[in-house]
Amino acid sequence: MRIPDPVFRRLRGYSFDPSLSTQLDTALVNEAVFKIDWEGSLKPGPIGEYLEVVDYDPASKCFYEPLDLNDKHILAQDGLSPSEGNPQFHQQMTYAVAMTTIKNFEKALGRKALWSPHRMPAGPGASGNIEGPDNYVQRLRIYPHALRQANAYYSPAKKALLFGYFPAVSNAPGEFLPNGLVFTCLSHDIIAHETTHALLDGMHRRFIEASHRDTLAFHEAFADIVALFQHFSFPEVLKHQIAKTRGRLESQNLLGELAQQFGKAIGQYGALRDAIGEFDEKKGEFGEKRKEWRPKNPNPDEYQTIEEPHKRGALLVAAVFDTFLAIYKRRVADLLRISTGGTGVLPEGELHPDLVNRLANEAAKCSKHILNMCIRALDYCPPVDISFGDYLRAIVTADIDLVPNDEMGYRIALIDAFKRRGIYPRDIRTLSPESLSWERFERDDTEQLEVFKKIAEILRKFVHRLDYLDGDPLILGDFDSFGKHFKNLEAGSWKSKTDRERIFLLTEAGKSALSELLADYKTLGDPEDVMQFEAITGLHLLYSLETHEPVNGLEFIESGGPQGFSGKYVFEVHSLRGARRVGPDGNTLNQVVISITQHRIIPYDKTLKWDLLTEEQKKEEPSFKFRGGCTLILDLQDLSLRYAIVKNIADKVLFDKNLFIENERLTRQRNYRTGVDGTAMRATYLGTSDNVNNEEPFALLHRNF
Amino acid sequence: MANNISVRVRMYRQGLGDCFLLTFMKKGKKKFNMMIDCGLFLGTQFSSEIMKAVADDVKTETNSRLNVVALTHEHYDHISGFKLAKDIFQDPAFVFDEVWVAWTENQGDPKFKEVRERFEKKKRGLRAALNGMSELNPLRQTINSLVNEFFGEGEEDAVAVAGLTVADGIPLPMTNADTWKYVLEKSVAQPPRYCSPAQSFGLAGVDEVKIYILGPPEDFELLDDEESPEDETYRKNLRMAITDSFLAAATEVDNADFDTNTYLPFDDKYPFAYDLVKADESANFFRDTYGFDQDDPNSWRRIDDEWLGMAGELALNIDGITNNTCLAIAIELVDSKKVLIFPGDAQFGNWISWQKLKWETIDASGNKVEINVNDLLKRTVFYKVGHHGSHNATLKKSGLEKMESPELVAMIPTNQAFAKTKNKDKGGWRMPEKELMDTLELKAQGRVILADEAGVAGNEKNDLHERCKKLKLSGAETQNFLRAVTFGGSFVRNPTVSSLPEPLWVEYTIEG
Repeated sequence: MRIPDPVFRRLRGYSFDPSLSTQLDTALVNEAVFKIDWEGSLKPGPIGEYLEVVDYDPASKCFYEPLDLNDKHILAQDGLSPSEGNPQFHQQMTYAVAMTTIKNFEKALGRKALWSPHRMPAGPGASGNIEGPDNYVQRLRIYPHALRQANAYYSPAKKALLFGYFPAVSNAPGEFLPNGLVFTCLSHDIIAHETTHALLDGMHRRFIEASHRDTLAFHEAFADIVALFQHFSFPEVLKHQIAKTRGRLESQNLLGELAQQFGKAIGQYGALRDAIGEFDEKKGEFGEKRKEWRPKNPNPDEYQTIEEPHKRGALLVAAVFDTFLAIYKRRVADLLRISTGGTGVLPEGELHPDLVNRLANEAAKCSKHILNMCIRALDYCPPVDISFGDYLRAIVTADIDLVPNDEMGYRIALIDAFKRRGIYPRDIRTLSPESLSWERFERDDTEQLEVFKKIAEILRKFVHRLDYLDGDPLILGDFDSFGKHFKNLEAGSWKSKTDRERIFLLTEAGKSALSELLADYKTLGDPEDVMQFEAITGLHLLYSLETHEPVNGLEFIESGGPQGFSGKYVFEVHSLRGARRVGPDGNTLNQVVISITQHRIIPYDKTLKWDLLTEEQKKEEPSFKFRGGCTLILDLQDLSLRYAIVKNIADKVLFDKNLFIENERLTRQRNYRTGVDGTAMRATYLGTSDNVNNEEPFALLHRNF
Repeated sequence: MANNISVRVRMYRQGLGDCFLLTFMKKGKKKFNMMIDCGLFLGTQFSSEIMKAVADDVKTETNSRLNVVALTHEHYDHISGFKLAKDIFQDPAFVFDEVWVAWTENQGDPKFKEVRERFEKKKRGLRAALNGMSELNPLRQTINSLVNEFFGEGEEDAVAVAGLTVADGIPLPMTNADTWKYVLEKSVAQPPRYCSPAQSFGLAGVDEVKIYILGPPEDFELLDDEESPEDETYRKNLRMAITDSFLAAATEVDNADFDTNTYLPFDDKYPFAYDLVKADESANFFRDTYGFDQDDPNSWRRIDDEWLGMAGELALNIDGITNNTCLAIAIELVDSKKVLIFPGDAQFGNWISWQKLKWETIDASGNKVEINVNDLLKRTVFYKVGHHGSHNATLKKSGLEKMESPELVAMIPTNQAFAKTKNKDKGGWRMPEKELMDTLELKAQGRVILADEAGVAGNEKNDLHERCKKLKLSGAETQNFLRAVTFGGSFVRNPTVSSLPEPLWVEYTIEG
């Protein structure tokens, strides 16, 4: 008899980090068993489908032996037991938490997660796609002992998570061993946070560019949100904390806090970050200094004044967590009434275990809903230059799409939480879910535009293949408009590829097909038509002196074209993905998301225009890339455009008034990049120069001392 | 009043770097002079020619006798002039009566011994860490040039980069430390004066001028403070421990400064030494995943140098410490109570320490009174802007905001065209930083003099005029201000770009 594969692999680890195992109160719940989807082909490392743990410690100039999770002794005891002194347990811990995070993310998104591709240097004559080809990256690499610093970060350049370790300095007696080390790779929160950075980068490659003071903060906030809500997936921890707070999750508790040990080790009073409260210095009875926890009150000024990405991100995290608390309270109100004879006022003493269980259930369910809302919204974000306001609109729109009937008031609670923190999208008059939702297109709006029909044709093929991943595109023999876009695919190799790689190859082919279509369209299409397309997408495709002012700095290929076009502006089909989701009412959404981007080269010096510089000056003049573009969401049911989420690339030119108005976003971005808002000496000297630190945007960011 | 002592502040226009010559005058006669710093940023073209022109001018103006040479700190852009124009300075007929430096320079002072040793250790560690980095690491280049620019090391490289050779009159390499020593030894008549905060004294033979020493602080904690006022001792200890653990690994095994083994994370039974694994030719996990060959397809994912990234942090820390050990002084014209502030490149920790200082003095009616730095700031009519106008070298709240005199004038020794070439991808160094510049303009109602502005030939004060106009300074006051400003001297900045001469200095006279 063939025994089927196990569903899960059980692995022990810390629910938080080692520090909570030394406290009597939390020791029991701090050891959790992670249930990871079974990977049959898991190799020592561990190396699986998504991850590869390679334990090199360059500062100590040594390697640590890879852990074989399939060793029968290890299998029989749910993995190695938690231990700070055994590097192999560290490997297990990073694998377990990162896999948990990936799987939670996939469930919410409804599709497989891909890492951001490894981009090769640009080759000559690449049309449409500006930079070089993208190579598939199957696994995110994890280096558990990469740095001797109080730091851990995701490296987009290496597609790797680098965790640091550092000596702990004793603050309060007994807190840390003298000369003891703190390992960031043993913190659930830090691992989940860094893994989320990688997942987000896999979807939105441009979000690592600090083009707006919200962009890096958004990355941080999103990573924190995922790490925080993952706390609610540990039933023991959840019940423990609900019992402890007597169901009042708005009071101080571990669920709302991140990175306990790290926070204390770097000299903070409590956790590194806390979504609900903060410590306040108080004078004690005898004049001694004391820190006291108090809930954080939303302050709308903070969104205007706080710049540091983690702190700024914390505003977004607090808004989301606040939404969770509001919904949780509403969901448990009836339970509390039932258990208190209708008063809703709990008596003194411990809660009944049954009530704790029910409250925990509600908290878990509700946290899952909120987290799903947050993750789904990623499909509704602009491809570049995201702000918190954009994200709010994305969450609201995604939620309206999937859950038209908002009975529990999730959206209202969310908007209210953002509003109280002064986070508004620009150009919005009223704050209702309807006005916050991205503008919705109906079939009639774009029907007359032939190009959307053609786009839809390609997309239909794309989605069809996405449904039948087994079908080898080369053997299928469909060398039609779509099949030929599979580049460098060796005959017969399809079979040996995993589903994720197939999805990647399909996506690349789809992008290539769309790119070709749009390149033809802007050259051959009716100018009126193309201009209408531009108005919808915010892109700039035409180059014609009669109708358009040249867009300065926008890459332009000079070649004669028919119908009065003298050339082409370059664009990139940036991403393409299918999204199929089922709502709570059984309604299904079947959509495809495309994003198209362009960039302009902008000199920092306001008085200069890129196109007017000589080649020599172009080499010398400090400049940056200003990006724009759009995310298009198409409905596959009726093959029409639903949403166009736009970041305009061009400036405004009013011909009749002879008026030129610089792109407002561009002005803001230049100011931000030149740090008119005042940045540290570090920025003066080391900066975040495009060729050095853009590769490692998180390296300095995460250095927390 | 004509009988009161007045002072002419001459700012040289050599480029990014400080060189100020102060001449105290009474009844039209020169009574005393003082040079504060003499340097030019590493990598400036024709630096030797330029600094020779500056030195010549100083020599002529002072009749070959500098009463005081005050050195604020050991950075290249503040002292390299002594080396670049060594021919002129070393002339025995050119006399330095006295040299002033910060108390931290006193090798015999036990207070600073520990800090100095730690600082030197860090510097050595940083060097070692940089040497350990791959040549290709862009971070190494950035940090390397940073370190070189500050400490004047690797000058030959910079000279080579600028396309010059020793034959072009570039003197042989001489580090900042050498230069420093050379200047100290030049004042043969007197040992150097080591200045400590809260000291005050008059100038030799000129009672009408009083010097107040503001910094560097004697509180070491503050020396390490670049930014945050909330840094606690704990964080410092942590930073020290982390730095040590980092440096222990970055430096060689037999390094006397650090014990490599102290910070190893695991028991001996776990690690496999990198060299042994690499030497093992057989297939193994690490060869397959990490790989050791240059052309390994996975080589782009290696992390050999990533951990050394902390060197950048360390370089900034060292730089910050040096800036905080700046000699910062206030000069008072006793009769008129006017004050001039020269903070060097002091950063946060230095500035904030001034708040605690107190001096005893005699007021108009002959009573003893105690004054503090706020009294001095309130009467400040001249401010030499710190660190070429970068953002964290001028304390806003307890510094600039307190300078309330309606006569305030600020000078910024900067060269924006040169600063712009630094860290180019981020839009260049902002010297001055815009926000600070705005505040300065507002405080001084436009009377801000930049070393790189000289209007147009024949109308050198054009820029100054425009700035006053922009800030709506009254016509009469503008005229008074412009009358007190003089452009003079002449030099050619870069003959390969333009052979047109420009003024060598700009001068502002403060009447007593």
